[in-house]
Amino acid sequence: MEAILKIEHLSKTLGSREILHDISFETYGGEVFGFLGPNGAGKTTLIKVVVGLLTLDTGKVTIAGKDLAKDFEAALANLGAIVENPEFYKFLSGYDNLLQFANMRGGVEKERIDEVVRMVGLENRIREKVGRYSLGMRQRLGVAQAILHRPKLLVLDEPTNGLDPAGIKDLRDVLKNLAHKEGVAVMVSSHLMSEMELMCDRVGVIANGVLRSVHPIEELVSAAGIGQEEFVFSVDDPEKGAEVLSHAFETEVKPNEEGKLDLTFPKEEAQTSLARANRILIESGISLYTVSKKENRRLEDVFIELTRGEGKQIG
Amino acid sequence: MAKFLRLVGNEWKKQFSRVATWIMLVLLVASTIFFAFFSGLSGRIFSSFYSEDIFWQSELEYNEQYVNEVDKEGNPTDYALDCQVRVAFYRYLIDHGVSPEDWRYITGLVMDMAEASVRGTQEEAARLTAIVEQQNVRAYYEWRLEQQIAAEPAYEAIYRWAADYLISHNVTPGNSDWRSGVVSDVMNAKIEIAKQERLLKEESADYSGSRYEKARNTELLGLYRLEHGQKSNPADAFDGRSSGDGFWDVMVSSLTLITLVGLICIVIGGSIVANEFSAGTIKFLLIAPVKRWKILTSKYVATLFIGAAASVAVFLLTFLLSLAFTGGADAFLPALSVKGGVVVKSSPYLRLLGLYLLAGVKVVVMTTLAFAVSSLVHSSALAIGISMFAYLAGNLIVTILQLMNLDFARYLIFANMDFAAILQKTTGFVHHSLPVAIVIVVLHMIVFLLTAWDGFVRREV
Ligand SMILES: Nc1ncnc2c1ncn2[C@@H]1O[C@H](COP(=O)(O)OP(=O)(O)OP(=O)(O)O)[C@@H](O)[C@H]1O
Ligand SMILES: [Mg+2]
Repeated sequence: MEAILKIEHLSKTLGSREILHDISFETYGGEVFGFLGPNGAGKTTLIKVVVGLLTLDTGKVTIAGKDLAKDFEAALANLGAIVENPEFYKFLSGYDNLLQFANMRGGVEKERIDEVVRMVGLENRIREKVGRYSLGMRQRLGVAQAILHRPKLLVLDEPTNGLDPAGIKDLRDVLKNLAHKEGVAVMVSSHLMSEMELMCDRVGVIANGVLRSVHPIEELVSAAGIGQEEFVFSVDDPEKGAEVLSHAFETEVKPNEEGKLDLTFPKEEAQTSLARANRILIESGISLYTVSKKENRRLEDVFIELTRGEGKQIG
Repeated sequence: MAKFLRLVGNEWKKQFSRVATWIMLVLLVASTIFFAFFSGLSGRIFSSFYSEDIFWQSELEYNEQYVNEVDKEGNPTDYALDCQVRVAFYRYLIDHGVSPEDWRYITGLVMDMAEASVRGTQEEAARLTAIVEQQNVRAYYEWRLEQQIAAEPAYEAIYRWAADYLISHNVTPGNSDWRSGVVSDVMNAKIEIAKQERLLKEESADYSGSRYEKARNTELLGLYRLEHGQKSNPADAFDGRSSGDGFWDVMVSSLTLITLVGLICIVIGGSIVANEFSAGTIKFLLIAPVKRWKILTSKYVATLFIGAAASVAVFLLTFLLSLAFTGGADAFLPALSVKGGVVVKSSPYLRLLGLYLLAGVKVVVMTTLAFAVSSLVHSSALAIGISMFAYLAGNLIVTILQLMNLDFARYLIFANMDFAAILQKTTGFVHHSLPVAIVIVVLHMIVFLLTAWDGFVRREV
């Protein structure tokens, strides 16, 4: 796969504080890359560096093979972006705003503008002045503006901010389509893990200006235990119970601090596995007091764990 | 280049989508119409509503009350005689239906006749009455010549030249025939020349080379116009005299409106960058694949374009109004001036264009100041405020410093933006030279543009 955005050892200091510290990662055409971090983690700052609003102190940013510092115009020609809130010329219509962007880039035909307007579902209101748009409509216009010139890299800072549920779903579909069908590298930032799960293929976790880790989304989902069910067995002889269950289910089962046994089954086999565990315990002469189902660990817990210590105190 | 023009087009489109821009332009158009109307045309238009003869009847009745006033000895008083003259004057005008445009009224001939009939000899009264009654132009000129020679015998040849010209060319006295005024200007110039030549010969301290020079030029220009039949000289309008049918007076007065164009430029230049920051749209502007200095330049160019377009609009509108009001007979006359003792022709349009450009210097410098402040502090209010103050109060500051005898004021930017005044040496500083002014202006422009560049291109957003 081709790396569209390549960030190498990027650091950025604003004032006297180092906001970003030695960040390196790549995003590829055809994937949606999520950028996850608590408030003040540096997501917006990183995006501002990528889109050329801020200069970097050290490191290198490459967009579609063009060095941003050396080849500014060629690098940005492959970029579409929304940074923070989408702001437009309120005294111009949505269409005239898009024309302004088209003029700055060149090579955008009238048909493309119409197509993009349809894609974001604004065709009925596009001739109205932006001053009369709602936040969600401006967000949609922002997306239209960002994809107008068919960029290879699309960078969106909290794009679902202000959208209604239908709008969020539409946006998700638009972004997935762009990535999976047209091979665009999409990078979105968010502090909502659940949103990331539905949209992203890979997630980078940032906290306090440091990129903690990058995971394929499946990894996070399984870490969060989604798709599995966990049960707690309370028995008279935990040691022996652990032994027979370990043996039967070919996993290691140990009594926990409370002397109970935790067992996790894939969701679809939960019923049969539960019945089987019951049977085995009874056959082994172990008395079963209770079985209870444990609540899933939520994605948010994983998120907090991944960024532990950093999210509580906005640094 | 095409891309750059598209950027300028974007800025242009944005400015013209704002209500504020249109309000300013409407005000400019209204002021242009107002100006064209009041600079030379109003007099013409009002005089068609109002004619002097409406007062004649009441003047007559008023003066009739005092014609019989006598002093202690029973003789008529001076005032009574004056009233008798006026009564005779108004009665004649009314009884004979003389119009206020009639040459006999305008030249004062009717008044002379009335005077003669009261205070003069019978013979003189009869002579003047005959001239008035027969409307005898030739006899009028001959009578006037006699009067002039009697008063100043030394200039007989000059007076004779004028009378001969007027008689032989059938020039109607008064102001209906333009040649009448030109002949009188030339005659007075010739007298001045003779006077100065005499003073020179006498080695008198009263001799004035500049007055001599000026009279020579007037004489040359007058004779040229008489010879070539040019009824007015547009150059007069540029020198602050009224010219011909007023076409060029109106055109020249439109220069004042460049001050207003300057205000518009300052408002636009002071907000065109700051507004992007206050609206947050700067982010979208700067993530376009265009180097920042190009965006900044496109904004600067767009601002100056709007100023230039507004100036062209002022010019064209004034031209059309002036043409409509005056009929435009003077619109295509050449401007005449004297250079090295010969009359040269030039285009008054080129001359006006030159003055527009000179007036534009101040506009450009102050607009650049507004532009620089606006991209440095991102506040349109501050940028517009500072630049407006400098634009409007700059001259006053220089004048105050001059009054305090502080000569360094000559190096202030405010003292060096009016190139036209520097050329005409009317700035009040001795040896105020244009090259120095140009250097001062260029240095300021460099500082302003670098400030704008630094505030916009190097700033992190
Ligand atoms: N101009 C600046 N000067 C100094 N510090 C700044 C500046 N801009 C941002 N910061 C700091 O940088 C840190 C990262 O900010 P950033 O906006 O990138 O966070 P974020 O991850 O986008 O947060 P959020 O989720 O709230 O949008 C914050 O602590 C912020 O206070
Ligand atoms: Mg942010």
